[in-house]
Amino acid sequence: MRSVLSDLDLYVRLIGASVRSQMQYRLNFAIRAFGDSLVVIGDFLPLYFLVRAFGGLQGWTLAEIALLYGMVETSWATIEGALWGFERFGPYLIEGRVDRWLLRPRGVILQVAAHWFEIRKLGRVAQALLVLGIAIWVLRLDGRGLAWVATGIAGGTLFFAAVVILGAATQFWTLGQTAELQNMLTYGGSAALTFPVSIYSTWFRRIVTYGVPLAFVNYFPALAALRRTAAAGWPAFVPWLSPIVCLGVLLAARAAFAQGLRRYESTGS
Amino acid sequence: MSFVGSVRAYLQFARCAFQRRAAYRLANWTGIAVNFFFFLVHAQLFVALFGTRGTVAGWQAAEAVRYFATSEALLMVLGVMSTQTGLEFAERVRSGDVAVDLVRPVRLWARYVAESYGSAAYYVLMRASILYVAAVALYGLALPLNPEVLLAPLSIALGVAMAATLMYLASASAFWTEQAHGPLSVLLVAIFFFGGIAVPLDFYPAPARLVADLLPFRGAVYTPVALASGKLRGVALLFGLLHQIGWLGVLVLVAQRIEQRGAAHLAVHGG
Amino acid sequence: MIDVRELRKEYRVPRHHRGAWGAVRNLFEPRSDIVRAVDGISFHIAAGEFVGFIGPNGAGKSTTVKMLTGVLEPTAGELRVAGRVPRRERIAHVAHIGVVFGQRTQLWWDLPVIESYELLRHVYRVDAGVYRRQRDRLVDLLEIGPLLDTPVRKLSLGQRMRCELAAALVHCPDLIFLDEPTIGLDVVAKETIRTFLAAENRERGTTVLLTTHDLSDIERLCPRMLLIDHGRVVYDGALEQIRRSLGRERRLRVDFDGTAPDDVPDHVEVEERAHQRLVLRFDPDRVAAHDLITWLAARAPIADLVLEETPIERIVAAIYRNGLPEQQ
Repeated sequence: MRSVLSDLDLYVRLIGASVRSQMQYRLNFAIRAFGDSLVVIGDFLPLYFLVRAFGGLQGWTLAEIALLYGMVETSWATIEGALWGFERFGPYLIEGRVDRWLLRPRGVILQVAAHWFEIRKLGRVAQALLVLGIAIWVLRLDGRGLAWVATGIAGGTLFFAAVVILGAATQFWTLGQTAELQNMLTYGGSAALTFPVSIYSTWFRRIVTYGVPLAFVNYFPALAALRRTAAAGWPAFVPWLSPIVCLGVLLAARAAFAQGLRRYESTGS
Repeated sequence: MSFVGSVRAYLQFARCAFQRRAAYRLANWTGIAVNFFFFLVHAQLFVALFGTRGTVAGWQAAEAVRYFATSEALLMVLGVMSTQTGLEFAERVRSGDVAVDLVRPVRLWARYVAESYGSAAYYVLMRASILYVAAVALYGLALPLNPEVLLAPLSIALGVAMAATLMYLASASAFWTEQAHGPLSVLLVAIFFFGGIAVPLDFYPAPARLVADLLPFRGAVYTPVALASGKLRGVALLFGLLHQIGWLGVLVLVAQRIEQRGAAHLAVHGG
Repeated sequence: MIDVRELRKEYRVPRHHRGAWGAVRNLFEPRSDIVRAVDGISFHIAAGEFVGFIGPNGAGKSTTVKMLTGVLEPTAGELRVAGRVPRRERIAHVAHIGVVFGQRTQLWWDLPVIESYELLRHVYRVDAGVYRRQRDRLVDLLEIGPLLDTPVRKLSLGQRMRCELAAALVHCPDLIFLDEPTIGLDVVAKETIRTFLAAENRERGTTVLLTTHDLSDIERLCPRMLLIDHGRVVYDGALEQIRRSLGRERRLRVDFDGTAPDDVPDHVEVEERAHQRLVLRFDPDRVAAHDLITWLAARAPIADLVLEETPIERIVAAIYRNGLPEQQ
């Protein structure tokens, strides 16, 4: 317990250092934060227009789609900001920064996670929450619904953390050449999850549910929040699996990273 | 420098850009996978949206899927998918390397455009064609057979130039500020939104559509993609092409002014 | 403190076939060669020693140091630092060592120097009082007081190295590894750092392992040096001994008032010949220095002369090239 608190303490301090470093470049930060802040609107608005032109999507209203979007975007934008160190892991590996982390008496994953917090992404999180807030208000979700939304966001955060950590782990083997594949799961995944998984064709649906468990990120929790689980053809226990699945994926990613680290220590750079 | 000499220089830049892209084979294939994934998502979305409906906003389901196939295929060709080249250029400005470029009798902007064409050529061969064929095969799409499609290469070429010039303008902010990330991100969002990358402009409500038609961004994406997927004909086509040519002219003029100003600024403040 | 026995590190390097057909062969018959970066190294370093590690690039010294610091896993052999096996007990091991890389910084680039120290204090979980005393002592000795509030990116190389040293010692390690700490520094900066290291070793008993290409570092600081080449320890002992056994050679530079003589006595080598100058090498056991000078003066008037010991670089280069000759 004491070690967890000590790790948390170090995490907060290191993140603070990273934020202070970024604030040294104030003008730059402001401009980039502004640029980032437009992305959510730029991403969501066309989809809003689209669904409006069709008057709905297979029984899902605009507000319900906005709920899906708000949930997945909040999860992903949070991780994108918080775990930036993993996204840049390839270059760090090549520069030898990983050696420095190994030379400190703390866990490497903790140090990578704490290395850089891209604070301008918080603008995206705020906008995603805004879209989410409006959706929740329009849908008049009750406490139960809100709890499911929160669970979905939490699970999604774990899932995207797993993807990013796994992406970093593969750098131990591929050294940056397959970085784009991670984008498919993160940017591609969040684009796909903006819409209910039910709209996709059978094989795509199966891959996204049983293969790479994207459906557990926001779809199933949203179904539960909207009381549509049964209507969508799923047994009631499935949404409850979401946090478990997401946690499982995170643990697997952590193991993969540890394995990669072991390989790095035996073969060097 | 003679005109022929200049042309040769620009061809050289284009060729270098081509070769640079060709070196990253594995990255290209993973990029194709990512593009294809996005195509699948959008295609299925549209199929689901249309459902049993025939025509919405003047589009049919098959046409929409074809639009996306074309869009994803051409994204890298047009150079609107990422800020990477823009950031590279901005970095050269920041580090002062560009001072060397400004001394050479080669227009910086023109070099940038030449490199965009070089990389576009690579992506036509190694991405667009592969993606398009895969998409057509998967969905059994009918190829657009209207004669207007013959103008597509022209429109695409204009689109490449427009996108390159827009990127150049955004990254040229590095002459004055330290980094160009901000303006480049804003540009990318503008292109995404007003260029109709994810959603064809026909689905936008009238006021948004009007703004999009006035701004230059649709020339970089919507016009060439819609034309190449056979959706742009007659008067709309004419407007699209004139819009591209007109805006390209304006952007080039602005680029020239920026370059003069930028060079002057560097001379005063150093790289 | 450090116990190394028959340490080995082997890498499997995949052998790449060339050409297009070769690419296919790579898939089906992957062959790899074994590269022995470290091929049976043994030595013992006691607490409080100051040891220099030198060797040509690619000799295996950085690989050895990586194994000693726990970053790399040995293929074979025994390795113990302060009684611990570095890789297996990484966290405990690393908490008691300090490492300085000449090229890479461990300081936080955009933040004032003092903040790096504060952060490191928490990384290493140093008690507040202990930290403050150690920090003040280091700041004083390395004269970095006025630099504490400066962002690291604004420091000169010499200033940064001094701050880097302090950073490596914030947690009071018993053992420090230094990788080319004086590279690229001016004379004054080198002096400050050397004085500091000597004092730390002498007064605090900190064991120091210095990897360097700069032999004057070794001359000034290391009573003992380990010369590593081709993954083996070629020499382990004092610099003076090498000089005595190999450095008997003397060098004589003579500037003449007229033309330099055409010939030289036996057992004397001509290193350089110009119209009015000769640079000669000879073994003083065979040819006495004053005999040689007398001989030369008899043939042409001497304007100026300089008699030198063999520069240490030549000795070491000779060892790199030829290995250590058998001791008489």
